[in-house]
Amino acid sequence: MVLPIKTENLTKIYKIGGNEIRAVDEVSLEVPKGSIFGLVGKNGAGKSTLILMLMGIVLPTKGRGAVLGYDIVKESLKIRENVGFMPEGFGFYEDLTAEQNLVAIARIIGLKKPKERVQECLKFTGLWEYRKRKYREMSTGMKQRLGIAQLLLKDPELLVLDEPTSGVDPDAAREFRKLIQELNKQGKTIFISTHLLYEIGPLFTHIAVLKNGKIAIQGSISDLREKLMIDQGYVYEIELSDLSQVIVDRIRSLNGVKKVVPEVDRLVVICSKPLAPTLLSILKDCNIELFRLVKPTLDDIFRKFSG
Amino acid sequence: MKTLEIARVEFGNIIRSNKFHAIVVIFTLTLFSGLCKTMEPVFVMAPGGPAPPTMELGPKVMEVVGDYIYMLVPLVAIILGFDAISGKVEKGIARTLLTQPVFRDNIIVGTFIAGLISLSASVIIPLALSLSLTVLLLGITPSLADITLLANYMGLVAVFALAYYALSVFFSTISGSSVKSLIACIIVWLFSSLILPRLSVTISRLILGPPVFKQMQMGPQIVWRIDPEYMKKYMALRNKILFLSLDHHFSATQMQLLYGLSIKDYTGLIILIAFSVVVLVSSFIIFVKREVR
Repeated sequence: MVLPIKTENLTKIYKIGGNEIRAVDEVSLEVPKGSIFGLVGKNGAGKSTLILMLMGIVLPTKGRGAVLGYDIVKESLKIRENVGFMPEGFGFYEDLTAEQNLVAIARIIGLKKPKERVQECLKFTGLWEYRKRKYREMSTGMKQRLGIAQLLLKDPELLVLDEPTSGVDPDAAREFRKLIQELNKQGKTIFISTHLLYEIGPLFTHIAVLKNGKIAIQGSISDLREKLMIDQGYVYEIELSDLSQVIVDRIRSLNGVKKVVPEVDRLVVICSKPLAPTLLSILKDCNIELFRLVKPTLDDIFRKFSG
Repeated sequence: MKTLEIARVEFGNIIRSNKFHAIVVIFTLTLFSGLCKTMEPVFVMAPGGPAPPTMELGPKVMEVVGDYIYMLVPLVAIILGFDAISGKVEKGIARTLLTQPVFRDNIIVGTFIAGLISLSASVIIPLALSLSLTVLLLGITPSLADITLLANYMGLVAVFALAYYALSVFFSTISGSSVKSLIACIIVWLFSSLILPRLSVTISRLILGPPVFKQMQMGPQIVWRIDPEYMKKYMALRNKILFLSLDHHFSATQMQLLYGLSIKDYTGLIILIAFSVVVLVSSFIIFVKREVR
Protein backbone atom coordinates (compact mmCIF):
# COMPACT_ATOMS: atom_id res chain seq x y z
CA MET A 1 0.00 0.00 0.00
CA VAL A 2 1.26 3.46 -0.90
CA LEU A 3 1.77 5.62 2.18
CA PRO A 4 0.48 9.19 1.86
CA ILE A 5 3.90 10.49 2.90
CA LYS A 6 7.19 8.61 3.09
CA THR A 7 10.69 10.04 3.32
CA GLU A 8 14.12 8.53 3.66
CA ASN A 9 17.03 10.52 5.11
CA LEU A 10 15.59 13.73 3.73
CA THR A 11 18.03 16.58 4.32
CA LYS A 12 18.08 20.28 3.54
CA ILE A 13 21.20 22.35 4.01
CA TYR A 14 21.07 26.11 3.48
CA LYS A 15 24.27 27.96 2.81
CA ILE A 16 24.13 31.40 4.38
CA GLY A 17 27.20 33.61 4.34
CA GLY A 18 29.62 30.70 4.08
CA ASN A 19 27.89 28.82 6.93
CA GLU A 20 25.95 25.62 6.43
CA ILE A 21 22.65 25.37 8.25
CA ARG A 22 21.06 21.93 8.40
CA ALA A 23 17.41 22.94 8.49
CA VAL A 24 16.26 19.34 8.03
CA ASP A 25 18.61 16.51 8.94
CA GLU A 26 18.19 12.91 7.77
CA VAL A 27 14.45 12.80 8.30
CA SER A 28 12.75 9.47 7.68
CA LEU A 29 9.02 9.73 8.07
CA GLU A 30 6.05 7.43 7.49
CA VAL A 31 2.54 8.85 7.59
CA PRO A 32 -0.21 6.18 7.71
CA LYS A 33 -3.29 6.50 5.56
CA GLY A 34 -6.32 7.94 7.34
CA SER A 35 -4.32 9.38 10.21
CA ILE A 36 -4.21 12.88 11.66
CA PHE A 37 -0.46 13.21 11.81
CA GLY A 38 1.10 15.97 13.88
CA LEU A 39 4.56 17.21 13.04
CA VAL A 40 5.48 18.97 16.25
CA GLY A 41 8.53 20.96 17.18
CA LYS A 42 9.61 24.31 18.49
CA ASN A 43 9.95 27.33 16.21
CA GLY A 44 12.92 26.86 13.91
CA ALA A 45 12.92 23.07 14.31
CA GLY A 46 12.64 22.65 10.54
CA LYS A 47 8.93 21.86 10.19
CA SER A 48 8.16 24.36 7.43
CA THR A 49 11.26 23.46 5.42
CA LEU A 50 10.32 19.78 5.64
CA ILE A 51 6.80 20.53 4.42
CA LEU A 52 8.02 22.74 1.58
CA MET A 53 10.27 19.87 0.47
CA LEU A 54 7.36 17.44 0.63
CA MET A 55 5.36 19.77 -1.60
CA GLY A 56 8.22 20.06 -4.07
CA ILE A 57 8.58 23.81 -3.50
CA VAL A 58 12.05 23.48 -1.96
CA LEU A 59 14.53 20.97 -3.33
CA PRO A 60 16.19 18.59 -0.85
CA THR A 61 19.98 18.59 -0.54
CA LYS A 62 19.91 14.80 -0.16
CA GLY A 63 17.63 11.92 0.65
CA ARG A 64 14.34 11.15 -1.00
CA GLY A 65 10.66 11.25 -0.43
CA ALA A 66 7.30 10.50 -1.96
CA VAL A 67 3.90 12.02 -1.42
CA LEU A 68 0.92 9.92 -2.56
CA GLY A 69 3.53 7.86 -4.38
CA TYR A 70 4.88 10.83 -6.37
CA ASP A 71 8.56 11.66 -6.11
CA ILE A 72 9.05 15.01 -4.40
CA VAL A 73 11.77 16.10 -6.84
CA LYS A 74 10.64 14.68 -10.17
CA GLU A 75 6.88 14.87 -9.77
CA SER A 76 6.32 17.98 -7.69
CA LEU A 77 3.64 19.29 -10.03
CA LYS A 78 1.66 16.05 -9.61
CA ILE A 79 1.94 16.44 -5.85
CA ARG A 80 0.57 19.97 -5.96
CA GLU A 81 -2.21 18.82 -8.27
CA ASN A 82 -3.33 16.15 -5.80
CA VAL A 83 -2.51 17.45 -2.33
CA GLY A 84 -4.38 20.19 -0.51
CA PHE A 85 -1.75 22.41 1.08
CA MET A 86 -2.23 25.34 3.41
CA PRO A 87 1.15 26.98 3.98
CA GLU A 88 2.09 29.04 7.01
CA GLY A 89 1.41 32.73 6.41
CA PHE A 90 -0.80 32.06 3.37
CA GLY A 91 -2.73 34.96 1.89
CA PHE A 92 -5.18 35.87 -0.82
CA TYR A 93 -5.83 38.85 -3.07
CA GLU A 94 -7.06 41.52 -0.69
CA ASP A 95 -9.38 43.38 -3.04
CA LEU A 96 -11.17 40.25 -4.21
CA THR A 97 -14.00 38.58 -2.31
CA ALA A 98 -13.78 35.13 -0.76
CA GLU A 99 -15.66 33.69 -3.72
CA GLN A 100 -13.60 35.52 -6.36
CA ASN A 101 -10.37 34.32 -4.74
CA LEU A 102 -11.53 30.71 -4.70
CA VAL A 103 -12.85 30.83 -8.27
CA ALA A 104 -9.50 32.23 -9.40
CA ILE A 105 -7.61 29.39 -7.70
CA ALA A 106 -10.06 26.83 -9.07
CA ARG A 107 -9.34 28.16 -12.57
CA ILE A 108 -5.60 28.08 -11.98
CA ILE A 109 -5.89 24.46 -10.83
CA GLY A 110 -7.92 23.77 -13.97
CA LEU A 111 -11.17 22.55 -12.40
CA LYS A 112 -13.90 21.82 -14.95
CA LYS A 113 -16.75 23.44 -13.00
CA PRO A 114 -15.01 25.97 -10.77
CA LYS A 115 -18.08 27.85 -9.53
CA GLU A 116 -19.94 24.72 -8.40
CA ARG A 117 -16.91 23.38 -6.53
CA VAL A 118 -16.26 26.76 -4.92
CA GLN A 119 -19.87 26.84 -3.74
CA GLU A 120 -19.47 23.40 -2.11
CA CYS A 121 -16.25 24.39 -0.38
CA LEU A 122 -17.67 27.70 0.87
CA LYS A 123 -20.67 25.88 2.32
CA PHE A 124 -18.55 23.18 3.93
CA THR A 125 -16.34 25.74 5.66
CA GLY A 126 -19.27 27.92 6.74
CA LEU A 127 -18.23 30.84 4.55
CA TRP A 128 -21.19 30.84 2.20
CA GLU A 129 -22.85 33.86 3.79
CA TYR A 130 -19.55 35.76 3.72
CA ARG A 131 -18.71 34.89 0.11
CA LYS A 132 -19.11 38.48 -1.08
CA ARG A 133 -16.81 39.88 1.60
CA LYS A 134 -13.42 41.16 0.48
CA TYR A 135 -10.45 39.27 1.88
CA ARG A 136 -9.07 42.41 3.53
CA GLU A 137 -12.34 42.78 5.47
CA MET A 138 -12.41 39.21 6.81
CA SER A 139 -11.55 38.22 10.39
CA THR A 140 -8.56 35.98 11.11
CA GLY A 141 -10.88 33.03 11.67
CA MET A 142 -12.65 33.59 8.35
CA LYS A 143 -9.32 33.91 6.58
CA GLN A 144 -8.26 30.60 8.05
CA ARG A 145 -11.49 28.94 6.90
CA LEU A 146 -10.90 30.38 3.45
CA GLY A 147 -7.47 28.76 3.55
CA ILE A 148 -9.14 25.43 4.26
CA ALA A 149 -11.74 26.01 1.54
CA GLN A 150 -8.85 26.63 -0.86
CA LEU A 151 -7.16 23.34 -0.05
CA LEU A 152 -10.42 21.44 -0.42
CA LEU A 153 -11.02 22.68 -3.97
CA LYS A 154 -9.13 19.71 -5.41
CA ASP A 155 -11.00 17.28 -3.13
CA PRO A 156 -7.63 15.86 -2.09
CA GLU A 157 -7.08 12.64 -0.16
CA LEU A 158 -4.13 14.21 1.67
CA LEU A 159 -4.26 17.60 3.39
CA VAL A 160 -1.07 19.30 4.55
CA LEU A 161 -1.39 22.24 6.93
CA ASP A 162 1.58 24.24 8.18
CA GLU A 163 0.98 25.97 11.54
CA PRO A 164 -2.75 26.33 10.83
CA THR A 165 -3.78 27.78 14.19
CA SER A 166 -1.07 30.34 14.79
CA GLY A 167 -2.64 33.74 15.33
CA VAL A 168 -6.25 32.56 15.44
CA ASP A 169 -8.57 33.11 18.41
CA PRO A 170 -9.86 30.20 20.57
CA ASP A 171 -13.26 30.15 18.84
CA ALA A 172 -11.67 29.92 15.42
CA ALA A 173 -9.33 27.20 16.68
CA ARG A 174 -12.33 25.22 17.95
CA GLU A 175 -14.08 25.59 14.57
CA PHE A 176 -10.89 24.48 12.90
CA ARG A 177 -10.69 21.31 15.04
CA LYS A 178 -14.28 20.46 14.09
CA LEU A 179 -13.52 20.84 10.39
CA ILE A 180 -10.42 18.69 10.66
CA GLN A 181 -12.29 15.94 12.48
CA GLU A 182 -15.02 15.99 9.88
CA LEU A 183 -12.53 15.77 7.04
CA ASN A 184 -10.74 12.91 8.75
CA LYS A 185 -14.07 11.08 9.10
CA GLN A 186 -14.40 11.34 5.31
CA GLY A 187 -11.22 9.25 5.10
CA LYS A 188 -8.74 12.02 4.35
CA THR A 189 -5.24 11.83 5.74
CA ILE A 190 -4.28 15.05 7.50
CA PHE A 191 -0.71 16.16 8.11
CA ILE A 192 -0.41 19.15 10.44
CA SER A 193 2.68 20.93 11.66
CA THR A 194 2.41 22.93 14.85
CA HIS A 195 4.18 24.17 17.91
CA LEU A 196 0.86 24.87 19.66
CA LEU A 197 0.06 21.43 21.02
CA TYR A 198 -2.75 22.50 23.31
CA GLU A 199 -4.84 23.76 20.38
CA ILE A 200 -4.79 20.86 17.95
CA GLY A 201 -2.75 18.23 19.76
CA PRO A 202 -5.83 16.33 21.00
CA LEU A 203 -6.76 15.61 17.36
CA PHE A 204 -3.57 13.75 16.53
CA THR A 205 -3.58 10.01 16.06
CA HIS A 206 0.14 10.01 15.24
CA ILE A 207 2.98 12.43 15.81
CA ALA A 208 6.60 13.02 14.96
CA VAL A 209 8.67 15.30 17.16
CA LEU A 210 11.19 17.35 15.23
CA LYS A 211 14.18 18.71 17.13
CA ASN A 212 16.93 20.74 15.45
CA GLY A 213 15.94 19.32 12.08
CA LYS A 214 16.00 15.70 13.25
CA ILE A 215 13.14 13.38 14.13
CA ALA A 216 13.39 12.79 17.88
CA ILE A 217 10.55 10.27 17.89
CA GLN A 218 7.55 9.24 15.81
CA GLY A 219 4.63 6.87 16.09
CA SER A 220 1.02 6.57 17.12
CA ILE A 221 -0.03 8.51 20.20
CA SER A 222 -0.96 5.30 22.07
CA ASP A 223 2.40 3.69 21.29
CA LEU A 224 4.27 6.80 22.39
CA ARG A 225 2.29 7.00 25.63
CA GLU A 226 3.12 3.37 26.30
CA LYS A 227 6.77 4.04 25.52
CA LEU A 228 6.86 6.99 27.88
CA MET A 229 5.16 4.97 30.61
CA ILE A 230 7.76 2.23 30.20
CA ASP A 231 10.52 4.85 30.40
CA GLN A 232 9.13 6.94 33.21
CA GLY A 233 6.83 4.50 34.98
CA TYR A 234 3.11 3.69 35.25
CA VAL A 235 1.61 6.24 37.60
CA TYR A 236 -1.52 5.18 39.54
CA GLU A 237 -3.46 7.80 41.39
CA ILE A 238 -5.80 6.44 44.06
CA GLU A 239 -8.20 8.42 46.21
CA LEU A 240 -9.31 6.41 49.23
CA SER A 241 -10.01 6.35 52.94
CA ASP A 242 -8.93 3.85 55.60
CA LEU A 243 -5.36 3.75 54.36
CA SER A 244 -3.05 2.06 56.85
CA GLN A 245 0.75 1.88 57.06
CA VAL A 246 0.48 -1.91 56.67
CA ILE A 247 -1.15 -1.54 53.27
CA VAL A 248 1.41 1.05 52.19
CA ASP A 249 4.22 -1.32 53.20
CA ARG A 250 2.59 -4.22 51.31
CA ILE A 251 2.40 -2.11 48.15
CA ARG A 252 6.02 -0.97 48.59
CA SER A 253 7.13 -4.62 48.79
CA LEU A 254 5.49 -5.56 45.48
CA ASN A 255 7.75 -6.51 42.60
CA GLY A 256 7.66 -3.66 40.03
CA VAL A 257 6.77 -0.84 42.41
CA LYS A 258 9.27 2.00 42.11
CA LYS A 259 7.80 4.57 44.44
CA VAL A 260 4.83 5.02 46.75
CA VAL A 261 3.71 8.48 47.87
CA PRO A 262 1.05 8.28 50.61
CA GLU A 263 -0.94 11.42 51.33
CA VAL A 264 -4.10 12.11 53.32
CA ASP A 265 -6.89 10.19 51.50
CA ARG A 266 -4.67 9.80 48.47
CA LEU A 267 -1.98 7.48 47.23
CA VAL A 268 0.32 7.76 44.24
CA VAL A 269 2.08 4.58 43.11
CA ILE A 270 4.72 4.57 40.40
CA CYS A 271 5.44 1.16 38.87
CA SER A 272 7.78 -0.15 36.19
CA LYS A 273 5.01 -2.38 34.77
CA PRO A 274 1.19 -2.43 34.78
CA LEU A 275 0.04 -3.49 38.28
CA ALA A 276 -3.59 -2.38 38.41
CA PRO A 277 -5.17 -5.78 39.30
CA THR A 278 -2.61 -6.46 42.06
CA LEU A 279 -3.05 -3.00 43.56
CA LEU A 280 -6.82 -3.29 43.49
CA SER A 281 -6.71 -6.67 45.28
CA ILE A 282 -4.50 -5.22 48.04
CA LEU A 283 -6.73 -2.18 48.40
CA LYS A 284 -10.03 -4.12 48.28
CA ASP A 285 -10.81 -3.40 51.93
CA CYS A 286 -10.14 0.30 51.60
CA ASN A 287 -12.90 2.60 50.54
CA ILE A 288 -11.65 3.49 47.03
CA GLU A 289 -13.24 6.58 45.54
CA LEU A 290 -10.99 6.91 42.50
CA PHE A 291 -8.46 4.61 40.88
CA ARG A 292 -6.81 5.75 37.67
CA LEU A 293 -3.74 5.24 35.58
CA VAL A 294 -2.28 8.67 34.87
CA LYS A 295 -1.48 8.60 31.16
CA PRO A 296 1.24 10.92 29.85
CA THR A 297 -0.17 13.85 27.96
CA LEU A 298 0.90 14.91 24.51
CA ASP A 299 2.71 17.73 26.23
CA ASP A 300 4.66 15.21 28.33
CA ILE A 301 5.66 13.36 25.15
CA PHE A 302 6.66 16.62 23.45
CA ARG A 303 8.70 17.83 26.45
CA LYS A 304 10.43 14.50 26.86
CA PHE A 305 11.47 14.21 23.22
CA SER A 306 11.95 17.79 22.15
CA GLY A 307 14.17 18.60 25.10
CA MET B 1 -3.08 29.06 -19.63
CA LYS B 2 -2.06 29.14 -15.96
CA THR B 3 -0.06 32.31 -16.62
CA LEU B 4 -3.11 33.94 -18.18
CA GLU B 5 -5.32 32.85 -15.27
CA ILE B 6 -2.84 34.41 -12.85
CA ALA B 7 -2.74 37.57 -14.99
CA ARG B 8 -6.53 37.66 -14.97
CA VAL B 9 -6.86 37.41 -11.20
CA GLU B 10 -4.01 39.90 -10.68
CA PHE B 11 -5.63 42.40 -13.02
CA GLY B 12 -9.00 41.88 -11.32
CA ASN B 13 -7.39 42.61 -7.97
CA ILE B 14 -5.61 45.73 -9.21
CA ILE B 15 -8.60 47.34 -10.88
CA ARG B 16 -10.73 46.75 -7.78
CA SER B 17 -8.13 48.33 -5.52
CA ASN B 18 -8.47 51.78 -4.00
CA LYS B 19 -4.96 52.48 -5.28
CA PHE B 20 -6.04 52.09 -8.90
CA HIS B 21 -9.21 54.14 -8.43
CA ALA B 22 -7.21 56.92 -6.77
CA ILE B 23 -4.66 56.92 -9.62
CA VAL B 24 -7.34 57.21 -12.30
CA VAL B 25 -9.28 59.95 -10.49
CA ILE B 26 -6.24 62.05 -9.52
CA PHE B 27 -4.56 61.63 -12.90
CA THR B 28 -7.74 62.51 -14.79
CA LEU B 29 -8.41 65.60 -12.67
CA THR B 30 -4.83 66.80 -12.91
CA LEU B 31 -4.69 66.32 -16.66
CA PHE B 32 -8.07 67.94 -17.10
CA SER B 33 -7.07 70.96 -15.02
CA GLY B 34 -3.92 71.19 -17.14
CA LEU B 35 -5.89 70.91 -20.34
CA CYS B 36 -8.15 73.74 -19.20
CA LYS B 37 -5.14 75.95 -19.83
CA THR B 38 -5.57 75.26 -23.55
CA MET B 39 -8.66 77.51 -23.31
CA GLU B 40 -6.50 80.40 -22.21
CA PRO B 41 -6.27 83.10 -24.92
CA VAL B 42 -2.71 83.35 -26.21
CA PHE B 43 -0.96 86.10 -28.06
CA VAL B 44 -0.21 84.77 -31.53
CA MET B 45 1.68 86.90 -34.02
CA ALA B 46 0.78 86.21 -37.60
CA PRO B 47 0.58 88.14 -40.83
CA GLY B 48 -2.84 89.50 -41.68
CA GLY B 49 -5.11 87.12 -43.59
CA PRO B 50 -8.71 86.15 -44.11
CA ALA B 51 -9.03 84.33 -40.69
CA PRO B 52 -7.44 84.91 -37.27
CA PRO B 53 -4.50 82.63 -36.41
CA THR B 54 -5.17 79.46 -34.38
CA MET B 55 -2.94 76.90 -32.81
CA GLU B 56 -3.74 73.27 -33.57
CA LEU B 57 -5.17 71.21 -30.74
CA GLY B 58 -2.62 68.37 -30.83
CA PRO B 59 0.57 70.40 -30.26
CA LYS B 60 -1.24 72.67 -27.81
CA VAL B 61 -2.40 69.71 -25.70
CA MET B 62 1.04 68.14 -25.78
CA GLU B 63 2.67 71.35 -24.72
CA VAL B 64 0.32 71.80 -21.79
CA VAL B 65 0.15 68.16 -20.71
CA GLY B 66 3.84 67.42 -21.18
CA ASP B 67 4.89 68.75 -17.78
CA TYR B 68 2.18 66.85 -15.95
CA ILE B 69 3.03 63.65 -17.75
CA TYR B 70 6.71 64.10 -17.02
CA MET B 71 6.02 64.22 -13.30
CA LEU B 72 2.93 62.02 -12.91
CA VAL B 73 3.56 59.04 -15.17
CA PRO B 74 6.66 57.81 -13.31
CA LEU B 75 4.72 58.10 -10.05
CA VAL B 76 1.78 56.13 -11.43
CA ALA B 77 4.15 53.43 -12.69
CA ILE B 78 5.98 53.30 -9.36
CA ILE B 79 2.73 53.07 -7.39
CA LEU B 80 1.59 50.16 -9.54
CA GLY B 81 4.92 48.34 -9.52
CA PHE B 82 6.72 48.86 -6.23
CA ASP B 83 4.88 46.02 -4.47
CA ALA B 84 4.15 43.85 -7.51
CA ILE B 85 6.37 41.03 -6.23
CA SER B 86 7.34 42.01 -2.68
CA GLY B 87 3.70 42.67 -1.79
CA LYS B 88 2.78 39.22 -3.00
CA VAL B 89 5.48 37.69 -0.81
CA GLU B 90 4.62 39.84 2.22
CA LYS B 91 0.90 39.13 2.02
CA GLY B 92 1.39 35.37 1.51
CA ILE B 93 -0.21 35.38 -1.97
CA ALA B 94 2.97 34.00 -3.53
CA ARG B 95 2.89 31.09 -1.07
CA THR B 96 -0.77 30.36 -1.79
CA LEU B 97 -0.11 30.39 -5.53
CA LEU B 98 2.99 28.23 -5.21
CA THR B 99 0.99 25.56 -3.41
CA GLN B 100 -1.02 25.15 -6.61
CA PRO B 101 0.31 23.27 -9.62
CA VAL B 102 2.07 26.33 -11.03
CA PHE B 103 5.68 27.29 -11.45
CA ARG B 104 7.34 30.50 -10.37
CA ASP B 105 7.61 31.69 -13.97
CA ASN B 106 3.82 31.44 -14.34
CA ILE B 107 3.47 33.78 -11.36
CA ILE B 108 5.93 36.43 -12.46
CA VAL B 109 4.85 36.47 -16.10
CA GLY B 110 1.21 36.68 -14.98
CA THR B 111 2.16 39.59 -12.73
CA PHE B 112 3.94 41.35 -15.61
CA ILE B 113 0.98 40.95 -17.97
CA ALA B 114 -1.53 42.20 -15.39
CA GLY B 115 0.76 45.06 -14.43
CA LEU B 116 1.26 46.17 -18.02
CA ILE B 117 -2.45 46.09 -18.80
CA SER B 118 -3.36 48.02 -15.66
CA LEU B 119 -0.52 50.46 -16.27
CA SER B 120 -1.75 51.13 -19.80
CA ALA B 121 -5.27 51.52 -18.45
CA SER B 122 -4.18 53.90 -15.70
CA VAL B 123 -2.38 56.12 -18.23
CA ILE B 124 -4.68 55.87 -21.22
CA ILE B 125 -8.03 56.11 -19.38
CA PRO B 126 -7.21 59.47 -17.71
CA LEU B 127 -5.66 60.82 -20.92
CA ALA B 128 -8.63 59.81 -23.01
CA LEU B 129 -11.15 61.01 -20.42
CA SER B 130 -9.55 64.39 -19.88
CA LEU B 131 -9.02 64.95 -23.61
CA SER B 132 -12.62 64.06 -24.38
CA LEU B 133 -13.82 66.46 -21.68
CA THR B 134 -11.63 69.24 -23.00
CA VAL B 135 -12.66 68.70 -26.60
CA LEU B 136 -16.32 68.72 -25.54
CA LEU B 137 -15.91 71.89 -23.48
CA LEU B 138 -13.93 73.67 -26.18
CA GLY B 139 -16.30 72.54 -28.89
CA ILE B 140 -13.39 71.63 -31.11
CA THR B 141 -13.42 68.82 -33.60
CA PRO B 142 -9.89 67.44 -33.61
CA SER B 143 -8.35 66.91 -37.02
CA LEU B 144 -6.95 63.59 -38.17
CA ALA B 145 -3.45 65.03 -37.69
CA ASP B 146 -4.36 65.93 -34.07
CA ILE B 147 -5.65 62.44 -33.37
CA THR B 148 -2.58 60.81 -34.95
CA LEU B 149 -0.26 63.04 -32.98
CA LEU B 150 -2.06 62.39 -29.71
CA ALA B 151 -2.19 58.63 -30.36
CA ASN B 152 1.57 58.65 -30.98
CA TYR B 153 2.00 60.66 -27.85
CA MET B 154 -0.05 58.21 -25.80
CA GLY B 155 2.13 55.40 -27.15
CA LEU B 156 5.25 57.28 -26.11
CA VAL B 157 3.80 57.93 -22.66
CA ALA B 158 2.97 54.21 -22.32
CA VAL B 159 6.60 53.33 -23.15
CA PHE B 160 7.85 55.86 -20.60
CA ALA B 161 5.50 54.41 -18.00
CA LEU B 162 6.68 50.90 -18.89
CA ALA B 163 10.30 51.86 -18.16
CA TYR B 164 9.43 53.07 -14.66
CA TYR B 165 7.12 50.11 -14.09
CA ALA B 166 9.91 47.71 -15.05
CA LEU B 167 12.28 49.49 -12.70
CA SER B 168 9.86 49.35 -9.77
CA VAL B 169 9.11 45.65 -10.39
CA PHE B 170 12.86 45.04 -10.39
CA PHE B 171 13.29 46.74 -7.02
CA SER B 172 10.24 44.90 -5.74
CA THR B 173 11.81 41.58 -6.78
CA ILE B 174 15.29 42.14 -5.39
CA SER B 175 14.39 43.92 -2.16
CA GLY B 176 11.69 41.56 -0.89
CA SER B 177 10.24 44.52 1.03
CA SER B 178 7.69 46.92 -0.40
CA VAL B 179 8.89 49.82 1.75
CA LYS B 180 12.49 49.41 0.63
CA SER B 181 11.34 49.00 -2.95
CA LEU B 182 9.27 52.20 -2.80
CA ILE B 183 12.17 54.18 -1.32
CA ALA B 184 14.55 52.90 -4.00
CA CYS B 185 12.06 53.79 -6.77
CA ILE B 186 11.56 57.31 -5.44
CA ILE B 187 15.31 57.88 -5.16
CA VAL B 188 15.88 56.75 -8.76
CA TRP B 189 12.98 58.86 -9.99
CA LEU B 190 14.23 61.98 -8.19
CA PHE B 191 17.75 61.35 -9.46
CA SER B 192 16.56 60.83 -13.02
CA SER B 193 14.05 63.65 -13.22
CA LEU B 194 15.42 66.35 -10.94
CA ILE B 195 18.95 65.76 -9.72
CA LEU B 196 20.73 64.52 -12.84
CA PRO B 197 19.43 67.22 -15.24
CA ARG B 198 20.71 69.89 -12.84
CA LEU B 199 23.92 68.07 -12.08
CA SER B 200 24.59 67.65 -15.79
CA VAL B 201 24.73 71.46 -16.16
CA THR B 202 27.26 71.81 -13.37
CA ILE B 203 29.39 68.90 -14.53
CA SER B 204 29.43 70.19 -18.12
CA ARG B 205 30.43 73.68 -16.94
CA LEU B 206 33.15 72.24 -14.73
CA ILE B 207 34.61 70.21 -17.60
CA LEU B 208 34.28 72.81 -20.38
CA GLY B 209 34.91 75.90 -18.30
CA PRO B 210 32.85 79.11 -18.47
CA PRO B 211 31.08 79.82 -21.74
CA VAL B 212 33.04 81.59 -24.47
CA PHE B 213 31.29 84.62 -26.00
CA LYS B 214 31.77 85.88 -29.50
CA GLN B 215 30.67 89.03 -31.23
CA MET B 216 28.30 88.40 -34.07
CA GLN B 217 26.60 90.51 -36.67
CA MET B 218 22.82 90.23 -36.48
CA GLY B 219 21.29 92.48 -39.13
CA PRO B 220 22.38 96.01 -38.47
CA GLN B 221 23.47 95.16 -34.89
CA ILE B 222 26.53 93.51 -33.44
CA VAL B 223 25.63 91.21 -30.50
CA TRP B 224 27.49 89.02 -28.04
CA ARG B 225 26.57 85.37 -28.29
CA ILE B 226 27.95 82.16 -26.84
CA ASP B 227 30.36 80.54 -29.23
CA PRO B 228 28.35 77.97 -31.27
CA GLU B 229 31.27 75.53 -31.01
CA TYR B 230 31.18 75.81 -27.22
CA MET B 231 27.40 75.28 -27.23
CA LYS B 232 27.78 72.23 -29.45
CA LYS B 233 30.34 70.68 -27.08
CA TYR B 234 28.26 71.65 -24.06
CA MET B 235 25.10 70.03 -25.45
CA ALA B 236 26.98 66.89 -26.51
CA LEU B 237 28.52 66.49 -23.05
CA ARG B 238 25.22 67.16 -21.29
CA ASN B 239 23.43 64.62 -23.45
CA LYS B 240 26.08 62.03 -22.60
CA ILE B 241 25.50 62.60 -18.89
CA LEU B 242 21.74 62.58 -19.35
CA PHE B 243 21.96 59.21 -21.08
CA LEU B 244 21.47 57.81 -17.56
CA SER B 245 18.14 59.58 -17.17
CA LEU B 246 14.96 57.82 -18.32
CA ASP B 247 13.14 61.14 -18.20
CA HIS B 248 15.62 62.69 -20.60
CA HIS B 249 14.97 60.02 -23.24
CA PHE B 250 11.25 60.59 -22.87
CA SER B 251 11.39 64.37 -23.04
CA ALA B 252 13.80 64.29 -26.02
CA THR B 253 11.36 62.11 -27.96
CA GLN B 254 8.42 64.19 -26.76
CA MET B 255 10.10 67.35 -28.06
CA GLN B 256 10.46 65.75 -31.47
CA LEU B 257 6.76 64.96 -31.52
CA LEU B 258 5.85 68.45 -30.38
CA TYR B 259 8.03 70.40 -32.77
CA GLY B 260 8.51 67.95 -35.59
CA LEU B 261 5.06 66.31 -35.26
CA SER B 262 6.72 62.95 -35.87
CA ILE B 263 9.63 61.02 -34.39
CA LYS B 264 12.76 61.20 -36.56
CA ASP B 265 15.34 59.99 -34.05
CA TYR B 266 14.20 56.80 -32.35
CA THR B 267 17.21 56.51 -30.01
CA GLY B 268 15.30 57.65 -26.90
CA LEU B 269 12.37 55.37 -27.64
CA ILE B 270 14.63 52.39 -28.31
CA ILE B 271 16.57 53.03 -25.10
CA LEU B 272 13.36 53.16 -23.07
CA ILE B 273 12.07 49.93 -24.61
CA ALA B 274 15.44 48.14 -24.31
CA PHE B 275 15.80 49.27 -20.70
CA SER B 276 12.32 47.95 -19.86
CA VAL B 277 12.96 44.59 -21.51
CA VAL B 278 16.35 44.08 -19.82
CA VAL B 279 15.03 45.05 -16.40
CA LEU B 280 11.92 42.86 -16.71
CA VAL B 281 14.01 39.88 -17.85
CA SER B 282 16.37 40.42 -14.90
CA SER B 283 13.43 40.46 -12.49
CA PHE B 284 12.13 37.28 -14.08
CA ILE B 285 15.45 35.48 -13.69
CA ILE B 286 15.92 36.60 -10.08
CA PHE B 287 12.39 35.58 -9.07
CA VAL B 288 12.48 32.21 -10.82
CA LYS B 289 15.89 31.26 -9.39
CA ARG B 290 15.10 32.36 -5.86
CA GLU B 291 14.41 29.62 -3.35
CA VAL B 292 11.59 29.77 -0.83
CA ARG B 293 12.74 29.71 2.79
